[in-house]
Amino acid sequence: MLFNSPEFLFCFLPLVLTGYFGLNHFNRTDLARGWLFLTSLFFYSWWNPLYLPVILGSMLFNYLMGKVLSNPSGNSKKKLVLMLGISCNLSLLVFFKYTDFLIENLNLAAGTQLSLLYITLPLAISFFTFQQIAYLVDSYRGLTGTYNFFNYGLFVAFFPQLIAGPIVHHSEMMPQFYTKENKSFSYENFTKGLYVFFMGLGKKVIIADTFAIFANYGYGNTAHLTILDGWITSLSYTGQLYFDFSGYTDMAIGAALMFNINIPVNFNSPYKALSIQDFWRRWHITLSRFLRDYVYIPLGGNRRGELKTLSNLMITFIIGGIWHGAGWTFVFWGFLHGAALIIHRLWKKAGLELPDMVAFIVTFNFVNIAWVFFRAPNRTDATNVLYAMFGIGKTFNIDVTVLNDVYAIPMALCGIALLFYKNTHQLLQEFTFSKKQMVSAIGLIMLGMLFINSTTANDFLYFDF
Amino acid sequence: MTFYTLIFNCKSMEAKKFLFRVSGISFLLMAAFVTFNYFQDVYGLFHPCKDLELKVYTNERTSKYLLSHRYIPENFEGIVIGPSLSANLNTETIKDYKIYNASIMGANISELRYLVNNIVERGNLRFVIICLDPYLTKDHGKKSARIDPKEVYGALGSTNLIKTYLFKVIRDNELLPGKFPPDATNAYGFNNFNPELAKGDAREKILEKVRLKSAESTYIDPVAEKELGETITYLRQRQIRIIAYFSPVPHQILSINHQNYKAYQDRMRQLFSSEDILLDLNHERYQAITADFDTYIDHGHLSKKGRDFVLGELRQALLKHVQPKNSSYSER
Repeated sequence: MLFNSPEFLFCFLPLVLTGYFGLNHFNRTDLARGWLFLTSLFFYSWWNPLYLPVILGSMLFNYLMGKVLSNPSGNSKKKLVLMLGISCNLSLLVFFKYTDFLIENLNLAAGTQLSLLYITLPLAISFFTFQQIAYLVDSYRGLTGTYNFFNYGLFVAFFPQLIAGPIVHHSEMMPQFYTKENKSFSYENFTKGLYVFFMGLGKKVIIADTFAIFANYGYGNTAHLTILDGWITSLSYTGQLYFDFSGYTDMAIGAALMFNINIPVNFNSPYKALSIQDFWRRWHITLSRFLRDYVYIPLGGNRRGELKTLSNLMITFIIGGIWHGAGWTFVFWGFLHGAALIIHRLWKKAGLELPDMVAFIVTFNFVNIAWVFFRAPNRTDATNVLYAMFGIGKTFNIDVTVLNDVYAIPMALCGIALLFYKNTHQLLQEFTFSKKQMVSAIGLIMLGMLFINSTTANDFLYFDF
Repeated sequence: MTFYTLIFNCKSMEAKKFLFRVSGISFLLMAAFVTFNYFQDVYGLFHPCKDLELKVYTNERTSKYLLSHRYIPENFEGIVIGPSLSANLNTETIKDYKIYNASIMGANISELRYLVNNIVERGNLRFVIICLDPYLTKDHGKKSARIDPKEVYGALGSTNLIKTYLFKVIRDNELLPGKFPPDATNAYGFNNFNPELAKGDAREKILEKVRLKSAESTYIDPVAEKELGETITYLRQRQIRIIAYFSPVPHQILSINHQNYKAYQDRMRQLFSSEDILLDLNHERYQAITADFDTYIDHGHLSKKGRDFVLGELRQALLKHVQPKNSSYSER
């Protein structure tokens, strides 16, 4: 079920809200959480019920492992249990996400002719696997509480964040379901949630889907791009990815807020970043946090000398790259970011500084170019786009073929302007129950409804990861 | 800073009032917009539309799909289906019959089937004219999301509808007659794209194709072939007369691809029975016309001369096999 579908907005969400607050109103708080858990599973299985045993099995396994690990009277084999837990989680992820990739590469390297399995990727597996690995590690560290299975399941499956994050931490989620004041319906939270939700919806259906028209056309015809086409294609995807993913996150934050649940901010105007380090503090913040806490720091972080720090950075970002998808282009994208962070670190250590404007231009262009590898289906298409952007093998002309829908251009221009305007987080900070906000809320709702009722065929990009 | 900490300084009543006002005003505005669109009914979906004249203003796929729900079945006895090669046939000129041109630019048989089914199920269709060209069956499946039952709800308020209003105002009021002429379409589904596509010399375009030996592919997608066969059977079962014609191909181009085109024609012929009428407008007897560069505006789309030729042949075939409702027409 998509957040931008009528069945979600007019059936699922009102029904779940009514059930949740209705049960809480009659002090059936356990039942209310159970209701939220079951409806979240229903939300998940809407795409394909066959995925349900995978997530349920994963939750049950991690719940039991967590219980063993958090047992204070546990024995010395805890570390072994933790390793087993992490290995099982990663094996599940590798099996569903990377099997065909591994077979392809084995065939290529060893000359074998193993058939591909074409395994369907269960939705959100990358997200709920990472979330649960964090839970296991924290259980091992003694940082988790005692929960029953339904409550644990709710932390993993809570529908606003289930499909594409933010990757939430149990310590920021679990207590919220137990807080007394969170159990009654709040007009403030609901109104603000609705506002953020429609803001996210607008980002997705109005802006991201407009950029998608140009990006899809460009990446579908990479061999024929002119110089301008190359830049428009890459910039369109840069815009599309941000508005799509941050739009989804806003909707997730908004929907959760309607239940009085606060889920963490995931984007903070990333394209305004003045360095690559700054970018990763603003882009997909919860993934960066996970990689820092559960990969970079356990590897040793910056505590074991400069060379080790740099290699830890590279390893972390290559893992981040491959987490996004099974393909060498994703690995290379991770490598590029790892390399950029290493250069940035050395640059800073040398005491060098760039003027803000130059720093912004360098960072933005680096990110834009790196996204080419992230989006292109293969190396050839990626190099075609880059060759076009830099005029390699092209005669200079100002022809533009990518802007194939002239009516979408004004919307795309608005999108570009919005990239550098206040973000959702800042707008919500300034939110007051004033007439001005009322007009903007009504405008957002009207536009959102109009676009929801218009045929669009674009899923959210991060569903693929 | 977290979102939770942003729940600040709000008195409950303020939020409540705000929420009710926003919801109430939004609901009223939406209701007003939907009501307006319901009564405008530019696609003839919500009211009887006998004798109305509804045109396509933008987005031919969605518009013709929506018009196939009521407007076409309530007003027409025959339709033409095909890709762009037949989309510019002005069927209004065949006065003996009321024929809607349901052809769609770039459409394949999978897409056109949606329209055929709607029209047949909801009206009293007497005949269907099928424009046969390899383009119709070179692939299958919907090429975009524009033909979708959800579009019926879109007719009550969607971006497509707003775009339609915009072009209706521009075209009907001749605000930009150079770019958006009012006669670009008519109530018979005619798509007058010639002024837009007829850029450059047809002779040059045809000879360039010949020089490069780049005739159009005659590949037939098996699924599309099956779908075309099923459509023909479906029409036949409902006693709807089928008139199919091989759209004229410039003779010069045909000459370099004769074997393949013949094989294509043979495969297509197998789909039709003796009850159906099959016209080969690329037959040798038409060579004087198909070899004439003036018949085309480019390597295949028909000029006025070409369109008159095709419409004339279709009219003759119809008069021979389908009795006009008003027989006095046939005397013209």
